[in-house]
Amino acid sequence: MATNTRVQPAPAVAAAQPRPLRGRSGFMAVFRHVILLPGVVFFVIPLVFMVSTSLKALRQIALFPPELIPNPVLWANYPEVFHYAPMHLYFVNTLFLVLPAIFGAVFTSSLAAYAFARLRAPGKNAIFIILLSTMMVPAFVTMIPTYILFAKLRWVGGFKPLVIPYLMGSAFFVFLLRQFFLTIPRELEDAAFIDGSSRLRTFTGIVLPLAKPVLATVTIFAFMASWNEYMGPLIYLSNKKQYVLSLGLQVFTDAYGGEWGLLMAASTMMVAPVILLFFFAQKHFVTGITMSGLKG
Amino acid sequence: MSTRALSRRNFLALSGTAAASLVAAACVAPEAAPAAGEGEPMMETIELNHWGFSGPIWESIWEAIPDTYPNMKVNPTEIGDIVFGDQKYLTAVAAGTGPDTALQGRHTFLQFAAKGLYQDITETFDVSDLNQDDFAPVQFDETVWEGKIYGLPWDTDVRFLYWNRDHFAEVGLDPDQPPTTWAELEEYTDKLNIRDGDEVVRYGFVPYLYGNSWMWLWAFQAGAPSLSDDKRTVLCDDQIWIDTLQWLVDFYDNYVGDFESANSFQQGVQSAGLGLPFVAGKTSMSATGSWHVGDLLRSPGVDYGTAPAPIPAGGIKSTWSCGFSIIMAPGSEHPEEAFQVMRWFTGTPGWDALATADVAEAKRTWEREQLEGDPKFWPRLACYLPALEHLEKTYLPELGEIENSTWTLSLDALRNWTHGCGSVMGLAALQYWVEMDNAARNALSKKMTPEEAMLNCKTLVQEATDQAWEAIDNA
Amino acid sequence: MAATTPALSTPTARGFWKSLRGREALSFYLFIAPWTLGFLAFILGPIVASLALGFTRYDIILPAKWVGLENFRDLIADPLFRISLGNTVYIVLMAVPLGMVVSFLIALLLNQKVRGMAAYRTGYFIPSIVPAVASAALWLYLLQPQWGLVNGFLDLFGIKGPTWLASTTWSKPSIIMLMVWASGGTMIIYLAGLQDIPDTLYEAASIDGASWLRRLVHVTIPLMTPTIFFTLVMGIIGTFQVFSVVFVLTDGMGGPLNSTLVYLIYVYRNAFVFFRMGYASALSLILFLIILVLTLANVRLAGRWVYSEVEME
Repeated sequence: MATNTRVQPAPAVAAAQPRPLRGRSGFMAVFRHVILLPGVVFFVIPLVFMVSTSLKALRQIALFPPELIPNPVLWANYPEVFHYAPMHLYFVNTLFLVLPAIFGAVFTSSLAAYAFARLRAPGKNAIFIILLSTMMVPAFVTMIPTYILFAKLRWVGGFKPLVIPYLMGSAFFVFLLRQFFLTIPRELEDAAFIDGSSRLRTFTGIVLPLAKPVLATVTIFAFMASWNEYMGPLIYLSNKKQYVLSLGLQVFTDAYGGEWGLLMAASTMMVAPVILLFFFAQKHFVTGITMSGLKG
Repeated sequence: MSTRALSRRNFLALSGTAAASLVAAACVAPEAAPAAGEGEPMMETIELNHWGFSGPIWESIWEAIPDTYPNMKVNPTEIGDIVFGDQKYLTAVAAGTGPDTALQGRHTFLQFAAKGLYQDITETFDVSDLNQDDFAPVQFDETVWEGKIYGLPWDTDVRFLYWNRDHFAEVGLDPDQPPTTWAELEEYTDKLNIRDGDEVVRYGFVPYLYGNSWMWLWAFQAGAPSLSDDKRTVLCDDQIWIDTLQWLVDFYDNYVGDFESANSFQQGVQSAGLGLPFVAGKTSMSATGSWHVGDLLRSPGVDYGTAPAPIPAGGIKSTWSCGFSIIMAPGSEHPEEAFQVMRWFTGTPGWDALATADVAEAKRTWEREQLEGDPKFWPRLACYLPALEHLEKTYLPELGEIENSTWTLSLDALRNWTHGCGSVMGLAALQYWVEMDNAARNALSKKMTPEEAMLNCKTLVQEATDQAWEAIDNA
Repeated sequence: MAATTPALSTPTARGFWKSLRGREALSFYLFIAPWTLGFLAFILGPIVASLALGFTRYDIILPAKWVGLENFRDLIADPLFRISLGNTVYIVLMAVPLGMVVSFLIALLLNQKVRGMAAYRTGYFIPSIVPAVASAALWLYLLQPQWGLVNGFLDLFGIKGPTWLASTTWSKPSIIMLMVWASGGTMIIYLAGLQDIPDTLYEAASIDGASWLRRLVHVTIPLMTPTIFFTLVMGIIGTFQVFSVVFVLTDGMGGPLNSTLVYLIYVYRNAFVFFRMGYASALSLILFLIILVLTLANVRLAGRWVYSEVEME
């Protein structure tokens, strides 16, 4: 499967490439920080606010106007969260939902997306519209029919309704990936294809590696969606041993109502893995297509 | 404000959790061993699924059930929101995979009972050793639809006036004398208000928006009806409602100021859980629920008194209550055991188990937040009166004078002068809530006159009520 | 084994599947087979069922009863249907373009080589990660008229800020602000798109002496059109169904005075608060048609402005 162009992502090279908005001096570098910093502060406040509240006793939270810096700092909220909700167990359960969802997004959806982007077939446009239209019906009204369906299949009370449909891909990811595949220079695949590589090999060998940035994006979306999913686990799960993080959080908003410190500590714990994942995944956004001389 | 805010405590308690292992036998029961085979007498352990709140308190309660019933095991599962929407329960019952028992909010109780969402337990109740007179009357009534009993009332609350004694002394009012009439309430509010130019430093009293009183409290005191006896006619267009709303509008004009500003002040505070205006000294009087004593115990330093909320000239001492009841779902395969669970949970053993768990919880909270003094536990109000007495004997002696007098006040209200929250609203209870709230806000923000607002409420809620009745009549 | 012979252009029906085009079509169906299977098994049935319920009276408990167009007649007379649709259209018209522009600008900013970029990108993405309860609490605090930071900031310029979420005039703009602020998802989609643009194109443009702005207009934006198209279509689909943000900010009420009663809150309320599932389904069917028409229009128009390696058929 000869790729007659070098299309392997080359992160090191990519990083060294001049990028748009390239600065010409130290002044420009400083200038960029001057622009980026105040903005980022505005976007980070919720996190600061959340962490700050997670370190307060209720009597401090009751003050107003609220004080940003907890005094004293109440670390005890964090270990106490585990008394109310075994977040470590819920974390493991959540992974059972997250991993299939990522698989469905990265593999199943991208397969369909590639077909929509590249292959011609009768009825393709109509199928594409049907695909889009699955996103247009509010979940509130499909919830009961869907539940009845899973009840008939005897899947209620377990992870199956929360896993199997997601393995089959989702319209959102198919559409997103399709749009990205549309921008990949066609010559790359044609060459491989004509060299005798099968469609599938062309797809896995050439297209997917080229699509790394968007696959990183899709991974994050899929991760976040199932990480935060609440309604599905609420109605389908039936045993606290199966609970996921979003259900664990419920303990603080409801039965122990008003324990804002604990709620925020639990939320912080729930958010931290997502932030870390994003922090490390974002570098994959920069390993874009670095082939030379193909277009332009 | 939201129906959710119906009662802050309920609201908080509500949305959530519940317990029970879902879906019945139909589904693969996950970890737990499958319920034992059929028919073995005696030793067989019966597993029941209960949907309600989740978390360690509730787990420890249900772990106590084999102490009374050695052959029973209850699997609790989180039920989610049961006040403003009830998705998990509704969805499951629609699909025929409900639990054995579940906690349900009292607002929508009749609406659900009328539609057959709960099992009729009248016969079992009648042959049991339970006595209707042992339950708080109003709350028991709220589980009865057309003469049939559909559940047992579990907990409740009452609303009354809290006042800050220091603030009273500061402006020259007698700290032992709360306002008892609307006229006095206005007079006191005027004295207690502190403004710095445009800025409100302290509100003397803010009806409706702050605390948890809603229009129901004030209108009931004035003797307003909410529904005809046959529960088919909505009466929120009664002149008493209109007059009550007019009084609220005038109160804002004279003592609170702009509704929008007061609302935004409240939004930035209460909804976000950022502080309680009364605890923080931002308002000198508050009409709110019995649970507020618990908040005050957590944030000591407020010297307060409690009394029935002030009433209009010629009015009647009155308040209203809400809370949860426990029901048996249609299709429970173990109705006898399910009834025992309901009885146990609402009875003294259940309340005892809950209080024990709550006390342990209070201790943890005191340690975690490094609060001074001994952990303080303010019991929730049980609807089963013997349990209430048991709680009083066990826990009230450890509390102070104000808590004890507030307890006495709550019990007096509960036995003698409270209203329900669900039965008074009929078959379109949540519409009634939403539209009553809209009516008040429309009038308070001067978008409508009180009369227009209440007529609008009447039209909309009557339509919804008619529809609900039509469905029942045709069924 | 791939076809090395050009396809003959007039295949017979039987010959079609053997032709190059036929084999391509076959590959297409195979590639979309897993999704199609999921769609037929789990999605199609419930969607059809729920839309059909729009023609019934269904209170979840009693069996659904066919009532023909009654729900739709009720809907025409229902002021809350109009109010909720109006509020939603307002939010779509404002939040979709604003969200796209702001996210695009931020993506451009974050598509640079600057020390600490990983932290910056994470920072800008945070509003989309933090749970809604936490960001709602924060916004209620920021927008609190008396001591909130936003009005405090306006005060510096001698502007007396509005009462934001308590005001029927400013409640929708407040929600739009929050939505735009939390549109980090769109931002990373753009970022991924920007990364896909070959550097060689910029180099070529730089050599030609094109200014930054010219490069943006003539290189970046045209190559980003498939991504922009995606965010536009999804923005419309998603924003018409805006729910959680409004729900948590207004405690589920869509207040003050229904000024933020968005369509889906009304659907939710009918379905799970008022138990009028048939009516909720009718409302959903209308929403479905509105979004479908807009999406079809978008897809039709796409050929005129969206760059593609494949000609649209």
